[in-house]
Amino acid sequence: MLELTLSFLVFGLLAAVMIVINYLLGPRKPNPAREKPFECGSPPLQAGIGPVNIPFFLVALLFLLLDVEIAFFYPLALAFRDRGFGGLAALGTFILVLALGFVYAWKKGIFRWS
Amino acid sequence: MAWAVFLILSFLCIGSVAAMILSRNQAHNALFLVLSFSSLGGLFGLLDAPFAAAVQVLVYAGAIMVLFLFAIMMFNLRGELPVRVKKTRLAFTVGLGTILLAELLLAGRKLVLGSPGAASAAGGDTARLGHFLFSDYLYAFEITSLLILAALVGALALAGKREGS
Amino acid sequence: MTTFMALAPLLTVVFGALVVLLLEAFMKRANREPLGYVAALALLAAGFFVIRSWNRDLDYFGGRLVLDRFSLLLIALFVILGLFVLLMGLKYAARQGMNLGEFCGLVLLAVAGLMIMVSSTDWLVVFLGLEVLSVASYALSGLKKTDRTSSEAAAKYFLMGSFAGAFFVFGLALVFGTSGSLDFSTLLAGGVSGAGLAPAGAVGLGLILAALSFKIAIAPFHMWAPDVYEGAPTPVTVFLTVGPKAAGLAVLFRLLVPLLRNEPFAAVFGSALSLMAVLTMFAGNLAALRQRSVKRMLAYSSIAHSGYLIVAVIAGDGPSLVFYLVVYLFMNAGAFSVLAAMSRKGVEYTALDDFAGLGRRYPWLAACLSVFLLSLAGFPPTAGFLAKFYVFSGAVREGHVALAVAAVLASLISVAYYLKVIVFMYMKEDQGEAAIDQENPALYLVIFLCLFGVVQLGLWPGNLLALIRQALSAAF
Repeated sequence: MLELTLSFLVFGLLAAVMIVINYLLGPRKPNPAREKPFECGSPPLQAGIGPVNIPFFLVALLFLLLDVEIAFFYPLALAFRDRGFGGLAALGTFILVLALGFVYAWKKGIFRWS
Repeated sequence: MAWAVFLILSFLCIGSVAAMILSRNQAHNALFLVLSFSSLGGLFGLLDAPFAAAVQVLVYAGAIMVLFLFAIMMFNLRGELPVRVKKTRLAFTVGLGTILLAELLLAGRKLVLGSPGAASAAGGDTARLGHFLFSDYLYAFEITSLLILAALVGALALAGKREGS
Repeated sequence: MTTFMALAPLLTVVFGALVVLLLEAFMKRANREPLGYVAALALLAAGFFVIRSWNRDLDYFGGRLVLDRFSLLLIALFVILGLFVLLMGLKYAARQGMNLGEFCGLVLLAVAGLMIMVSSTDWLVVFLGLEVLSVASYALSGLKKTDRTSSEAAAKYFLMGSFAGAFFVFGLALVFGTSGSLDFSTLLAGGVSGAGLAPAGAVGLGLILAALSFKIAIAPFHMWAPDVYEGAPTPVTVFLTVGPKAAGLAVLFRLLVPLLRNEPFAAVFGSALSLMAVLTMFAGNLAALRQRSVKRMLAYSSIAHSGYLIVAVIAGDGPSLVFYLVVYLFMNAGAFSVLAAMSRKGVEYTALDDFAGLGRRYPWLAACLSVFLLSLAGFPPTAGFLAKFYVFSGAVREGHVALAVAAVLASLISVAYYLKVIVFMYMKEDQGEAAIDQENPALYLVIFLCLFGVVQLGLWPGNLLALIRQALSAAF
C-alpha cells in the first residue's frame, strides 16, 4: 500500500521536476516556427482533428485484441512452471486459436495499405 | 494516507466522467475518459490488485482509447455537437437514474457498513490469479480466445475492404 | 462421467469455423459455395457427437461444462438451426452481395456461443458464451454491406447489445460479491434455503435478468428487435429470432425454475416476469398489426412468441418450453425462408403488396407460407397449435390462469395479421411483376424440411414429446 503510494508520488514528482528543469535550464531562442505547437504531421491551425483512413482503425483494433490477449499472459507466466504439460496444452490452444485468427486477418489484407 | 489517495482518485474519476459527458467536443471526451480510466486504475491499485490496475491502464487507457480516437477521427465530425435536450425524455432519464441509484445504495448499504462480503477474501497476488486461470477458470479462459477471434472476424467483416478492391 | 469427449461437439464447431475462415482467406476462386458445404459438414459432425453423448451425462472442466440431456436437446436444436441458416445462405449470399465465407464462419462461431451458453451453470461461462454469440451476431446482421438498413441493424444491435452486456457484467459482479461463487447453484442454495439473497445479490440478479431479457427480446427490452430483424439479411434473421432466444430461455429456465418454487422470490420475480410476458405478447402482436412489410411483421411476431415462451418458463413447464422451441424453429425458419425465396439478384421482395397474387404466380411458395403462417397463428392441424396448447394448458395447470387467458387473447389478435398475408396472397390481384429467381435448391430443401417438421409435429408429436419428457425428467 505504502509502496504504491510512494511510487505514485515519486514518479509524479519526477515528471513535474523534469518539466520545471526543462523550463529553467533550456535555452530559449524564440522564432515563429518554434512558437507553433508541435504535433506529428498535422498543421497547427486545423478545426478539430482530421479524418483518418480505415486501415489505421483496423490495425488499432487488431492491436487492442492482441493487447487483451497479452494481458492474460502475465499471470499465466507466473503460474506456468507448476503446471506441466496441461498448462502448455491450455496455453497452446489459446495461442493457436488467436494465431490462426491473426493469419486470417493478415491474409484478408489488414496490413495492406492502399 | 490511503484515504487521501482514495478521495483524490475517486473525485478525479467521477469528475472526469462528468466532464466527459458534459463536454461537447469529441476529442476532449476521449481524453477525459483516459483520465477517468487511469484514476480507476489507481483505485484498483489501492485495493491491492496490481494486475487489475496494470490491465486497466494498459488496455483501457492505452489500447481502447487509441481505438476511440481513431473512431472519432474516422467519422470526421466537424465542430461540436449541438445540444438537443427533450424535456420529457430528460425527466424520464433523471427519474429512472435516481431509482437505479437508490436501489444500488439500498443494496450496497449493508455491504459497505456491514461485514465484508464473501468474495473479499479471494483477493491475492498475480501468481494466484494465474493458478486460477489454469484451474477453475480454464474453460472461461479458452472461451476468451474464441471471443477475441469472433471480434476479429466480425470487425474485418464489417470494416474490412470490399471484395475486389 | 468426466471426459474430454464432452468437448467434442463444441470443438468440432470451432474447428469448422477456423477451417472455413482460413480456406476463405486463402481461396482464389470466385465460387465460395464449397465453404458452405464444409461448414455444414462441421455441424453434421457436431450433431453426430451430440447423439453419441446422449444419456451419458458427460462433463468436463470440473463441472463447468455439462452435457446433460437438457443441454444436448438444445444443442441439437442449434445444430439444426445452423444447418438451416447455412443452406438458406448458400445462394442468398451471392445474390445479395454477402461474403459467404465470412457468413459461414460467423454462423459457426455464433452456434459455438449458443452451445457454450446452454451447457454450463457457471455464470462466467454463460456470459462468455453470450458474448461470443453476440459479437458474431452483430457482424452477421451487418454482412449486407451494400445495404444501409443492414449496416444500421448492425450498429443498433451492437450498441444496445454492448449496453446489455455491461448490465450482465455489473449484475455478475454483485452476485459474485455477495455469494462468493460463480455457480448458479450457490445463488439458488441461498434462495431456496429461505435465508434469501443479500439485497445486492438480488439487484445483481435483476440486472442479469434484464440483460437476458434483452437478448430474448422481451418487452420492455425489445425496442431494438424489429429494426435489427428487418435490416439483417434474411438467413441471419432466422438465426437471430431463434438462436439467442432459445439459449437465453434455457439459461432463464435453469435459473428461475428452482427460484420460482420459493415463496419470497416467486412474489417478486414471478409477478415481474408475468407482467413482462403479458407486455411482450401484446406489444408484439399489436405492433405487428400495423406493419406493411412482411419481414417487419414477422419480426414483431417473433417478439410476441418470446412472450408465449416466457409463459412456459413461469409455469416451470420444461417439456412444453422445449417442444415450443423446436416447433418455433421449424415454423419461423419456414416463414423466413419463403421470404428469402422471394428475391432475385440484388432485390428482396418483403412488402405486403409484393405478396398480392402470389397464390397464382407461385402456388407452391404461397401454399408453404400459408402453412407456416397458420402454424405461427396456432391453427389446429399444425404443430403451432399443439405447441401453444401445451404451453397454455401447462400454465393453467400450475395456477397461472390469468396469464393463460392473456396469452390466448394475444394469439387471437395475432390471427388477424397472419391471415392478412394469406388474404393478400390468394384474394388480391397482383399489381407489380415481382419476378423471383427460382434457381435455389438448398433453400427449397429448407422449406421442405420445415414444412415436414410443422406437419409431422402437428399430427404425430408423440415421439419428440416422449424424448423431451425423458430428457427433462431427470434434471428438473
